[in-house]
Amino acid sequence: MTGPSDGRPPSRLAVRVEETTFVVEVEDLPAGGLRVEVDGRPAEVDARLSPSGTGSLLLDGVSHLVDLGDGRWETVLVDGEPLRVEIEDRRGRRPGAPSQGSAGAGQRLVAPMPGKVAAVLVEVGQPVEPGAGLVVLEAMKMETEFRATEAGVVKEIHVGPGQAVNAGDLLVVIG
Amino acid sequence: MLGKLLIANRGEIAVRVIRACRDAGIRTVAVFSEADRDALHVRLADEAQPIGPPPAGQSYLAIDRLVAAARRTGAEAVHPGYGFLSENADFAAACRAAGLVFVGPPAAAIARMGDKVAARQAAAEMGVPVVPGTPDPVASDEEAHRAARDLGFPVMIKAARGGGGKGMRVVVRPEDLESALRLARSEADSAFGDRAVYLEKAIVEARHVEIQVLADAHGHVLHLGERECSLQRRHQKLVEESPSPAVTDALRAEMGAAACRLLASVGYQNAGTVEFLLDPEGRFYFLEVNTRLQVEHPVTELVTGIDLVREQLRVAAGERLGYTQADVAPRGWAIECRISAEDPARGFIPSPGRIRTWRPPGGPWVRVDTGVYEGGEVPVHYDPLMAKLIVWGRDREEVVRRMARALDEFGVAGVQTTIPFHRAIMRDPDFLAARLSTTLVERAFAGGRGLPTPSPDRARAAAVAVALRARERVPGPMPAAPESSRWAMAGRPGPGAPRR
Repeated sequence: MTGPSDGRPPSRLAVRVEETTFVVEVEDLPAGGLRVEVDGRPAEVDARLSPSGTGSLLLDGVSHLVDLGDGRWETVLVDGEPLRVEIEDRRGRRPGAPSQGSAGAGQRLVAPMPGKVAAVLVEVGQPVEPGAGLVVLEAMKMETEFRATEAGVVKEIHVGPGQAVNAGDLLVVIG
Repeated sequence: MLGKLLIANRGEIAVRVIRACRDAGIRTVAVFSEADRDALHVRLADEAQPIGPPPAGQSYLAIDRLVAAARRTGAEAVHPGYGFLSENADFAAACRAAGLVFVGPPAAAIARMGDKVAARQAAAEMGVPVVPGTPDPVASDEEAHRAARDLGFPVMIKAARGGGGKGMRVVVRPEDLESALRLARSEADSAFGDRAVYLEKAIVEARHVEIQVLADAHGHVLHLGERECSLQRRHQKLVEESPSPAVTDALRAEMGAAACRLLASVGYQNAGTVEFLLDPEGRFYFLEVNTRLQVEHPVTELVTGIDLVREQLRVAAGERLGYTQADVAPRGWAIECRISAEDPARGFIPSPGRIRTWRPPGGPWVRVDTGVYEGGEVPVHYDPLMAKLIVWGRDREEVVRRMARALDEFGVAGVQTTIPFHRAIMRDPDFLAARLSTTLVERAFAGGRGLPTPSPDRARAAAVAVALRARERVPGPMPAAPESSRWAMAGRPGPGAPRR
């Protein structure tokens, strides 16, 4: 079924899984099958995956059940264990990562979950210390307070009490 | 038996009740808010009625809408589940006034046991040990100081109408008493509309042990043994088991008799639970009564072989229990893990959303009670409980191993879940040695500590799988036909046997 007609060039990707980065090289063999190397060492790979992203991966003879989902790769499951993954570029930097938390000086507080704003605890222009409460989000009958991670002044507030927010929405900017 | 029953609830407990009804040949009516049109309980019920917008106050807590839905559909009975209106005496009374059978205790018993101070008094009158404390709510700060001195620090402040840990404060030092009183009163006011608080001596390193009671309308009251629910986080139970490793046959008989005596004295009927604290010396103290089915009722079902929801329906229909205390013979050990849409690595923050993968475990003596399905949504409006995983074994060692295995099989993606937390608990030395207390979770797992680190094997497998999939998406010079995909189009696999 498979053959040299694929004609894809070899690929080399750095994949970060939780805190560890693996460099994975994949090449189609002319006779069919794959040549795979992980961190420069050859690996024996037999993969079967359904279009939904669920399937079986035999890696050096060890059987893994994987769920990759829709390809946004935020979290994949391996043998039921959720692992946070990210594809890095060749220099090991993360392309297009949303600016969550602190980025050098200042902090951009982003909603980590969908919910409703129960309270905004600061005002624009107000100085804050690390640990100061900024916004309280309510979801699933629980209130969670989100706090400043560094000292600064409240530059922007993007939400008000009662407002519904989605995961990833910008809430407060500290500068 | 009843002909048609409305379930005034949602989620896994609505599904649980529907299943018991179908087993008994009773037709079911589900109710749903606008957020739950696609929920599993709506799909499984015989009939379904919309009851309003997503906020619970306008749907699952709206007594008039629920009663109207029952009348409209010709239901004869209402099962309240747990949470929502299950311990609301007004709801029980409204159902009975509308000619509906309320599957639960009489409204008067709910009201009496719902008032913590009145329940303590009833317990004390029946000779059930209570935690030493003030007999009535404390009227002033001076009175609280006097009472705390008499009891001895640490003391616990509790809301008279409390529940779920709201309005509860432990006070270790006398100088902290006044501010703690202020906070507890304000919390009690906003949660229950009642500022009244009372004081108890705080029992440290206590276990939470509760007795399941069944009572019929003909004066028969018996208990089905105990459940230990010591593993809690912020007063929310996470893991429950039956029996309790700390309870001997003699202690079980003593606690069971005390629980039955108390509920019989208030004219209780149907299923109810009496909660106790058990101190390290084996002394037990009355805590409160839950006048409803408990979330953790399945562990009792697995060790006794008694279907508690079926018993609830039989009792509500006026049938006799038909067996005695001597006929109740618990066997083996059962554990339940609550699987919630929360992220244990980030302080258990809620994680609502669409369930991309849902692959529950299987095999002998493994039970999954759930209200969700693959592709379904966990709405942001309600409790994060998605499923309860309950397993049975001949003894504690076997059941813990089986639970660890079942958790390893449980695959959920799309939302974060408490499954990694439970996997860690099943390997925790204190848990394995049955050294349980209500502080174990905070001590061992605060801030995501104690969660398992990913196995290097699985991390490597994740990297390879992602790299192969990413390669699929990069078009080559010639577009590859689907048949030539390296990812062969295998069908969906059943639950596999993951390796550790």
